[in-house]
Amino acid sequence: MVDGFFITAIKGFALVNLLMGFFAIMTWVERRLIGRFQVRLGPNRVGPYGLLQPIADLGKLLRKQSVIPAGARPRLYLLAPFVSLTCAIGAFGLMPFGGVASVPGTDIDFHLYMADSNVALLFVAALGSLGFYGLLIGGWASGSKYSLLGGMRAIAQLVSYEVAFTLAVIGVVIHAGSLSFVDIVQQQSDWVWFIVPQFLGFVVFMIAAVAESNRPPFDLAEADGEVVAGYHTEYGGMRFAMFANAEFINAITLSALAAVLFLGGPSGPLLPGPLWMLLKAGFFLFIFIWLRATTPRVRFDQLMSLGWKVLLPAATLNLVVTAAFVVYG
Amino acid sequence: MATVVWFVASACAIASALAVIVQRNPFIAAIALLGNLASLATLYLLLQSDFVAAAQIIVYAGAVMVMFLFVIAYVGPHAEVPDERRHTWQLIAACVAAGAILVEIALAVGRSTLDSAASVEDSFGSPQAVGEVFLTRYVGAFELVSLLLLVAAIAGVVLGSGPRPSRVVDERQRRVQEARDLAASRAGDDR
Amino acid sequence: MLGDWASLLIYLLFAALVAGTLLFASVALGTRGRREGRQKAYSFESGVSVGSFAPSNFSINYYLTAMLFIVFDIEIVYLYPLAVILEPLGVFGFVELCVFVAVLGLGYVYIWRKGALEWK
Repeated sequence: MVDGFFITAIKGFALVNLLMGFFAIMTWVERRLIGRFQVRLGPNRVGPYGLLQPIADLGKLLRKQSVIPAGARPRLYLLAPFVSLTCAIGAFGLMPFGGVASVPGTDIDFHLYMADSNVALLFVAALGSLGFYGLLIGGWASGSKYSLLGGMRAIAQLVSYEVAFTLAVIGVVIHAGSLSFVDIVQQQSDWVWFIVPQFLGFVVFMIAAVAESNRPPFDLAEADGEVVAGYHTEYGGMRFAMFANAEFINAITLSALAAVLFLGGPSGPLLPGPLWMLLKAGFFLFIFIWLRATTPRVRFDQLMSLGWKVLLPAATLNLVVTAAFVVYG
Repeated sequence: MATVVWFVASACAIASALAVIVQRNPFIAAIALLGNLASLATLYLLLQSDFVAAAQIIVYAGAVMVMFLFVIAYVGPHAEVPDERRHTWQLIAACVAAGAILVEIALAVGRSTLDSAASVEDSFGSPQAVGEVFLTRYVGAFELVSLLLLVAAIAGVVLGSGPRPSRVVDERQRRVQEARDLAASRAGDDR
Repeated sequence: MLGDWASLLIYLLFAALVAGTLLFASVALGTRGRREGRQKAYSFESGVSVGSFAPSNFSINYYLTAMLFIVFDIEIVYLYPLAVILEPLGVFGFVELCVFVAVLGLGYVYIWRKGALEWK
């Protein structure tokens, strides 16, 4: 533990709640922004500028009747959203928000990250891949054909882009010589943001990240014209919201990961670390929302061939070129 | 804290391993196997093998289990009927193998000369250390892995582009149905 | 020897707590239906009759994707330890990397030529 037990416990509690709060605000931001993109207002009735909309939504979702479909396997059906959400929140745990800070007015120091691990990058990928099973369990346990089809699709899509995703970041790993986020951030403040030498890797990473978080234009797992709503067809109320929540938190995690790997993470002039992370991750989240508002959904065969025939060779090329650059450059 | 985690992870590992064997439904058994893999990864963390733990989750839980679940979904509900026939020689072979492992563990524990916990330096188990071992002592094995993966990729494609297993299953079903129809019609004739 | 993982474990416990609370709330706080009709529990099929559905109708491509994913995932996991020490290794590491990637590249070309990457 980098800090004592009590500080760690407080930090963990605060980080989980800040993440959920940030998610709540981002749902409002997303709906307002998409409203703007589509030349309409978006939610503006509940509270000033519609800011209380997430709270109203929470209340509504909590009061929804709890229905378990007839053909479902109840325990697995309930387990699925739990797995999805736990893994999604868990994967955010290693994000660095800066170095050492102190509690104002005291001399208690604490670190602005939960933990520093030498396999941090792999840990995010590992928890992400465990989270996939929430979708498959949900699709299987619902006892409906659209759910199962959506779950299978989701997994096929996620694993295909997992390959491009993990291969694209190896370029960053070669430059940094480490898988620890703290080291990667340190390397970038010593040298240059990795987006400059790793632009191809960055592009592959971003495309794969959109597909990994199951968001438009790659939201094939819940394509309403084809599989109704995919793996969460049979889910309603809070349990549906947990799937949506997990999906959005995955998008937040990937944005933060992009900020750490390519834009120097929490390092930057003037402003404190957490604020820089918020700005950089917010920038990527804006791109996610922008894509959702403006792009049509791709076909499934297009999605698969993009992942396997374009992104995989591009990421491999990026890997070999980066290796040559580091060794001979 | 480490002791508590060790007990919890070991208990989870044993319980989920039992569930894999006891569960008749292959999908639920596969989910239990996932739990087992995750518990093992936690035990690896306790052994300070961070990279192995991450690789365990990514490769086994993230890739191999996807394959298992796809095959289970592909074969479909037919797979839920286990083979009811009992083979005596299988039972005997299983007992002998289990007994051999038990004796081996008993010998290993009994003759162990480890009095205290092993101590390793902090860099042990890190990807850097693993990479160094890969490219010095085990460089031949490292390159052989790429050949192995090549063979696996080709084998997967060859198997996958063969006759569709579902057709085989359908064919079997059709024959069973025909036999049943025949039996039913004969029973009707007798009456 | 948990080290830093202990703090992550604490964080994961909180994550599970949040998810568990939401799941519990969805059962405990939901409105009770006044009349529990059986119709409500039927699966949602968009007006199409439920009918029989054989999962064996899945495309073989799912199996192929999973198989290829295993191969490339293992390749990538092997590349990570090489990537972190590539700079100190220098030319030797680069050659090792190229051989490793080239052998798999052969497999990739074979897979492509066989049409296993087409989604049918």
